[in-house]
Amino acid sequence: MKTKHLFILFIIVALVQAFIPVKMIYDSEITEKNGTVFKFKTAPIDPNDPFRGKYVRLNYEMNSFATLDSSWVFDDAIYITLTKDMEGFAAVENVSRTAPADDKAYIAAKTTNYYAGNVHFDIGYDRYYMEENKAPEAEQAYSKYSRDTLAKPAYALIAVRNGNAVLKDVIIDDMPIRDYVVRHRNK
Amino acid sequence: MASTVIKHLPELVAHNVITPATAKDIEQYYALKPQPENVSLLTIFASLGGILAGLGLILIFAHNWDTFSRTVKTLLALLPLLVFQLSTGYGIIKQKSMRWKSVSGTLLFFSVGASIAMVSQIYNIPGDLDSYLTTWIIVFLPLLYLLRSDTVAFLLLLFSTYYIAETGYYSYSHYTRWFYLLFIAAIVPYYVNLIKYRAGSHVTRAFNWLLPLSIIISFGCFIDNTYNFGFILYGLLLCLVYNMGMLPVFTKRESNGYSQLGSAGIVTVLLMMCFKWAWKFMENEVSMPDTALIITGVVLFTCSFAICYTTRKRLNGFNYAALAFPAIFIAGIVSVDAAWIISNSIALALSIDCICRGINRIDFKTLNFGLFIIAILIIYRFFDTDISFEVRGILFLVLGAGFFTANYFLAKKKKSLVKTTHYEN
Repeated sequence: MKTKHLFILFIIVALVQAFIPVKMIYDSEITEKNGTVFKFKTAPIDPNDPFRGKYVRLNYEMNSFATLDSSWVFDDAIYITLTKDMEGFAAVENVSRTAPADDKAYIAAKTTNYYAGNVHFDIGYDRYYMEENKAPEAEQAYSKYSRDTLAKPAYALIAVRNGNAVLKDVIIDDMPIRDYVVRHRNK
Repeated sequence: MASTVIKHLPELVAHNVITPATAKDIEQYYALKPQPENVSLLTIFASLGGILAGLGLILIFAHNWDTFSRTVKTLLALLPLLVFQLSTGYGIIKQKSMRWKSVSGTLLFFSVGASIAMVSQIYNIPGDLDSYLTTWIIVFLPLLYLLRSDTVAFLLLLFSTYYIAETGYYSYSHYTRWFYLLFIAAIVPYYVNLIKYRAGSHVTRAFNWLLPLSIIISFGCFIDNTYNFGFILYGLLLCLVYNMGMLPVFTKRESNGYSQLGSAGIVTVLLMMCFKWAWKFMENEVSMPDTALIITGVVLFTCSFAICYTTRKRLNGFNYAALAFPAIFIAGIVSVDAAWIISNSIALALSIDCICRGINRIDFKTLNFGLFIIAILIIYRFFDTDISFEVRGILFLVLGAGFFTANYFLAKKKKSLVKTTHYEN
């Protein structure tokens, strides 16, 4: 193959390589700026990724919806229409197999199973990356915080737009988890 | 190799084994002999440097510097990608050396991974390790043929193997593991080219080990939930790997990964089946597997014997091992005990075959491999058969004496053969 042709092919490959992170950035930025922000009740724990570093894994309380449709099976695509409950936290308004046509905020997720009249799902957005020293500290701080039964629930701020979502922050005791860790470091 | 021969030349001349003129001819021969490949030591070290630097880049990014603003972090994520894309593009257009392309390609490989990782980190983008590795490998694969770099080929094979191990054994994802076949299918034409044009090179020899090893590792991920039939399929795959090592293109070389990995694997699988307790987990019956698995087994079996048929010469017990595994399975359908007895008989036959071949060819490695199989079979009987301590002790003594005697007589045979050759000369 001629050098010129090789180079043209390389340019195409290079553009594809650059397109992946740039598309990720674009989608996230547009969702954050124009999306509706919901508060999802959650509990953070600390795992590790060999390439992307440490993160707190989030277990969301919102993981099922009561429905009579028992045909849901593992790994089905599910569209969850969101609303806000009395306390202002995210709640499921409805679930469907296709994206809702109206302007309501929804997220695309995967089902885990159907059990006892409830379809269970995993909304994803379960990784909140933190500086490697802060991630384990965050887990310990949350564990200590959650022992207080009167403590306000921890939640994740998620911007939602057209089925796409961006996890903006995790809030414990009304402050971002990073600040919470620093404040409680020496206590 | 050449340097070792040249080093011994003065000694051979001093003992009148060769004449000084012959010694000079040998030296000249090696001096004029073209290098088997154009991979210099500097290219290898430069590639290693590239790999280490690339890994360093990933680890530095993985720290997650939360003191930097999001804009700075985003720019940092894209900067290495841009820099190494430019250097790789420059290497292609200016037709730079293989060293340049290898180092640049290696750094670009890690930059692609690092940039996706860092953007995921900045925006907390979900996605497990499997999907991350899939994207990373797919967007880099075409560069194997654009750069034609051995280092890039190694990296892709290494990461494809890591990917399948992660997907198949750890995260247990059913849907993405098939990408491994795509990755290997993309690497194979490069490997075939290596065999065709650079069969004697170190790179090809390394590939002759790493590619079958990767396939052996990955195979288990595709045959999960097969219970006892998994052993049979693994055995058949290893027979195919072993028989591939008999192809003329591989038998010419000293280091043949296919034969070595195949024989070690066949013996390991057989020895697992020789242990009575292993069969106890099969609930005393061997169930019929899915049609797809039976077809896989038939294909492996047929390919294995097709290779035997094409090579024909110097076949040994291991070449026929593909017959053993279906026999064990069929016996297992009748009775688990029958399968256990057949497994032991076949392992014993293979060990005797190894011992005979070792003695005939004066090959200590093969002889001791055969003795090792017998030793394991005897040790097994201590656990799954009720034998008294006296008999166990005597068996160990006999085994030890057997190892010593066999090696002693082989050493003696080798010595007498050397003497005979010396007198004939």
